[in-house]
Amino acid sequence: MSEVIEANHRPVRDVSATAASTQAGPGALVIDHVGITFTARRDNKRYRAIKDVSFTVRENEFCCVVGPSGCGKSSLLLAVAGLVPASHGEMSFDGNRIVSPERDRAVVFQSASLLPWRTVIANVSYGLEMMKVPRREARERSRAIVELVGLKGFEGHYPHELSGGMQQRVNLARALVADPQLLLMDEPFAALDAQTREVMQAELLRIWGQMRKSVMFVTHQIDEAVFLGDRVIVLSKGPGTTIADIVEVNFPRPRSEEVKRTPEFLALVDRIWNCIRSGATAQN
Amino acid sequence: MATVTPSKPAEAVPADVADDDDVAPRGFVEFLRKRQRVLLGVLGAVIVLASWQICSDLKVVNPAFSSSPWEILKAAKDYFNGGDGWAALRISAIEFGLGFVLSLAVGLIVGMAMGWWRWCEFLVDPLVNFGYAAPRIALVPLLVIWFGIGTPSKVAVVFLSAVFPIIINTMSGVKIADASLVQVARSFKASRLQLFRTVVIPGAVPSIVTGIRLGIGQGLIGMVVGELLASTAGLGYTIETAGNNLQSATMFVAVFLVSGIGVLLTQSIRVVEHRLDRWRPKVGG
Repeated sequence: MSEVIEANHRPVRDVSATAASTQAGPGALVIDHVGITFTARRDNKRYRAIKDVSFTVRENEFCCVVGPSGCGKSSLLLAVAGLVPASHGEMSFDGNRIVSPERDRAVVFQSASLLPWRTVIANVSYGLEMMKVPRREARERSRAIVELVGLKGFEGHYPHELSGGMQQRVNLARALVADPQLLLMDEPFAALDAQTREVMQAELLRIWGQMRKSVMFVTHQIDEAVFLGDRVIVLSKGPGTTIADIVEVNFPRPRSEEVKRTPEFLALVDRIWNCIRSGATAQN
Repeated sequence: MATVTPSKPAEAVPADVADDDDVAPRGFVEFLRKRQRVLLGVLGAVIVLASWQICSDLKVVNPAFSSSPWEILKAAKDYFNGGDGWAALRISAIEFGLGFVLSLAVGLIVGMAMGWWRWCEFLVDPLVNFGYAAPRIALVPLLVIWFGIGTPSKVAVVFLSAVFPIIINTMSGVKIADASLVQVARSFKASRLQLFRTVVIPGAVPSIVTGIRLGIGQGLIGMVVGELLASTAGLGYTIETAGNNLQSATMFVAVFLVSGIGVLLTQSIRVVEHRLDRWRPKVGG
């Protein structure tokens, strides 16, 4: 992420209506030649995180994005969330151009980022509160989601009283409660120990199976991406990240841990490993 | 769901539930141990007061200058029965109350504005730093000229003394808002007011409470010194006149009253803080 580009040089593409978004159908996330640069606080120079990335997340698809650390995959996710601006290219979701956070997209943050002064139930209902949903309705919906993520009985606990895995369950519940169409997950299990991570992966698939939403799941763990995703987008090493490979994953669902020991699974993991290791700067 | 065992704090079992008569000595030790903070605190005070009384009675020190706890108690009785104790207390309370409420209102608003808007910080920060560093007590003669020798000039002194610590601590509390939590709020399309109310203010509470606590201490000092320098009533005035007339006992009564009020106010702030901080993990014991 250290390729310095000149401050004035910002390739701007004039796209009045993205042609791709209409082709991809409703409910799809379309990322069309997106680049992300940002100004570093420390030297006021502009750095390029993502150079040129295009892909589509179809409706109800579980799409994973992997890439070496520093390739800008989290920046890409935050751009889709509308929290970080793209410097060029177009993004749209369900036919609407992405310019700011909207309620059809919800983020599951990397660190659980729970409000420490709120109990589990109050953290989960936060999004509804911001939408000014009546208090009683908000509590009822939150309670249902808390139960879905397996935290029944912990509604009154404060975040510091929960384990890392449970905090991430709250994080997930908080994103799910407002019933978004697209779930943006930013390495949510990265900080968990190996066993908890496996439990959480299975839990995520169980919950996703019940809710059916589009998911963009960013991770640096290749086996996690292959286990969870319908498709894996492999990003190249930064700076100037592009797409190195797109891998279809066709294991039947519901998936169990056993999948991880099949030769097909290992072959896919190997393929992605090699793709990343070769420092793949392949133009997509 | 193997990992949903929380680090739930163990329910405190009331220690005296199993207290039968035969374990009474053990229960008594436990009783002392649990209250050792209060008991030892009282013991320390008793030792000091007793030594004071003994030194005074044995004429180790001159009782006319140093007084004694017993003399002070008698002076307190006179001060409030027929003396101007209640009037002085009332005047001082009004001066401190008005000045402090004013400094709280101004301090919170200015501090929050400075923490929230950078331009506001840049605009006001030099003034605040100047005001904080200035020997504000030295302005009392000037304030008396502006506001007269009565209550308004003391309100002004209390205000000037208390407002700066409140401004500075409120500002820093608002500024340290957790960036990741701000991002969470933004992802839920929180309005700026919602962001402020749900993320910034709760995060700033510990700093704000610190500012208020410092403000109380500074405000009380301002009140007493203001009354010492120029006044016609109040606890500081009592200290001044009693001191001039060598009524050391009466002087001590007023001094103890001021300290007592300070302790009381600080303790009540601690109670409020404790209520607001229920969510915070307990560090140590």
